[in-house]
Amino acid sequence: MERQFKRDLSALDDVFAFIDGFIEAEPDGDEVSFPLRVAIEELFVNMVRHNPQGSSTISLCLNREDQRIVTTLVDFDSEPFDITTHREPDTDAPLEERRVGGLGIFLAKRMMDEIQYEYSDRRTCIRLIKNLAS
Amino acid sequence: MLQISVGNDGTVHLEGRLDASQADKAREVFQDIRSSCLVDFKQLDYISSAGLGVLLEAQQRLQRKGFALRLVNMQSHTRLVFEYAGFDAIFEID
Repeated sequence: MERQFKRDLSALDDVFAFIDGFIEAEPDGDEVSFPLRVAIEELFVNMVRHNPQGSSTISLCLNREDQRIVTTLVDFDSEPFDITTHREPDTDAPLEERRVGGLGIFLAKRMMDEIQYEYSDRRTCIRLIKNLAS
Repeated sequence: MLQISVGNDGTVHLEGRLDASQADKAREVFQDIRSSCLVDFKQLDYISSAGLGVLLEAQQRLQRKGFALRLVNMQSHTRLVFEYAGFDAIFEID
């Protein structure tokens, strides 16, 4: 399933509805629903916030490949930013030193089994891979 | 969507989904909190880093005055997000 979403936080309701539709059609979907929603939101929001001048839409594709759910997010007009090498926040810091910056990407990494980043010709492609338990 | 309300006893009740599109709505309520209070997560199905950020801002501000949020009735998925983020060390979670 693939769909284009408006580059705006207001599109999140539609993004979640799209994810829910995919999950409902998958026999093992329930077990990965929550981590998928978190990871997809975090990366979609990252694209919206850090590339506000990009193309009007962001592509989201969800597929089942054997015992994996593969999610692909594509930002068609972007600068390179490899999230897989992004510095992680200090989750052990005391309260007064905590910052939210970087937490979204960090949570996405924790929720997924693998994240792949590709960039060429101003096109950012992020693949999220979540293994199914059964 | 997020529903957020404050009870007569000052408890903040969260309901639905606290995602990036709802963070400002939550922030409007949390920035008015002036002392320690409970935050009831019983009806909250989902939270992402945006929601964590709102809570963090409030907790940091309250701590400077000797107050704190106490988070109660958290669902298991939500609790996992807090644990991954290390927020279980900076919030009292019941």
